[in-house]
Amino acid sequence: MAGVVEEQKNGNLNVDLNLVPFIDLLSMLVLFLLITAVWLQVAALPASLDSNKAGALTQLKQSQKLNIHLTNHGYALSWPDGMKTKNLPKYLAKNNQGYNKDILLKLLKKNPAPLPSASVSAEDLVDYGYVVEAIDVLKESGIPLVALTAD
Amino acid sequence: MVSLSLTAMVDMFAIMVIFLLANATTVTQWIEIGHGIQLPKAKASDPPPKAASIHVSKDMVFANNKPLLPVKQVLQSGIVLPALSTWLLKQAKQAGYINIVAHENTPYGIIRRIVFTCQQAGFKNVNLAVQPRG
Repeated sequence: MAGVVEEQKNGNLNVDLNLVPFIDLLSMLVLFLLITAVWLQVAALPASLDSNKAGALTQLKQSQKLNIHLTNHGYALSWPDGMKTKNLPKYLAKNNQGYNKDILLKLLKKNPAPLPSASVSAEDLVDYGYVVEAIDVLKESGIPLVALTAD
Repeated sequence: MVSLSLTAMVDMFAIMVIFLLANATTVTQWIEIGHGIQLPKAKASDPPPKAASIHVSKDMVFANNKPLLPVKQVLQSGIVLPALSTWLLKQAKQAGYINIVAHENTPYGIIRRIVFTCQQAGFKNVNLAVQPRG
């Protein structure tokens, strides 16, 4: 029995609950859950697959979407036709901290409406993490369809 | 002699148990990251759908956690990877999705070859596994 029941002189019951076994139980439960808990969360960044070849099944032509090509020195930007590109740079060089994703995001957010789609490609020696960063920036700016160009 | 207040300790343990129970039920982890893979960070928050997965560590490309190709071989090969293509053709195309779990420092040339091979095998969409950031 977990507690000690004492009957008082006036007929009332006085129960002393023994907490020590309860703490043992809880500590075992905490240990078990800590061991089985998964601390690393994994999320997914969806991207469709695109091709530069004519006749590829793409929703929009290459000239109708923003194309970002990552080089070892920065972002090469190809803005869609019909967009006012007078003040939009065609190249965003890297700075001391790496690729200028903050400036890219600001440029994309300046647009009154988000672009319908964009494609991302990179040079072979560019780290994959930077490509993911570029896709993330495009998604954050509101572009719904982002494609990875592999050829 | 010091008397220990057990009630406070019980309260603390109870809160820890409730927190861990709540955390355990909301995480469905079926992608094992392993192989020394450090995922890139992104603001994505949706969990990856259950589909075939390709893991890319610093040394090896794994298909559903089984070693498939060394990374050096991938870099020396053409744009289509025959071994990967053979494996992909055996996979069920659940909405044409394939999950790519790659180390953040992987050269894009490797990912490009993998992605092109997936495209040729009929997979139209990829899910890039990332670590949620903020």
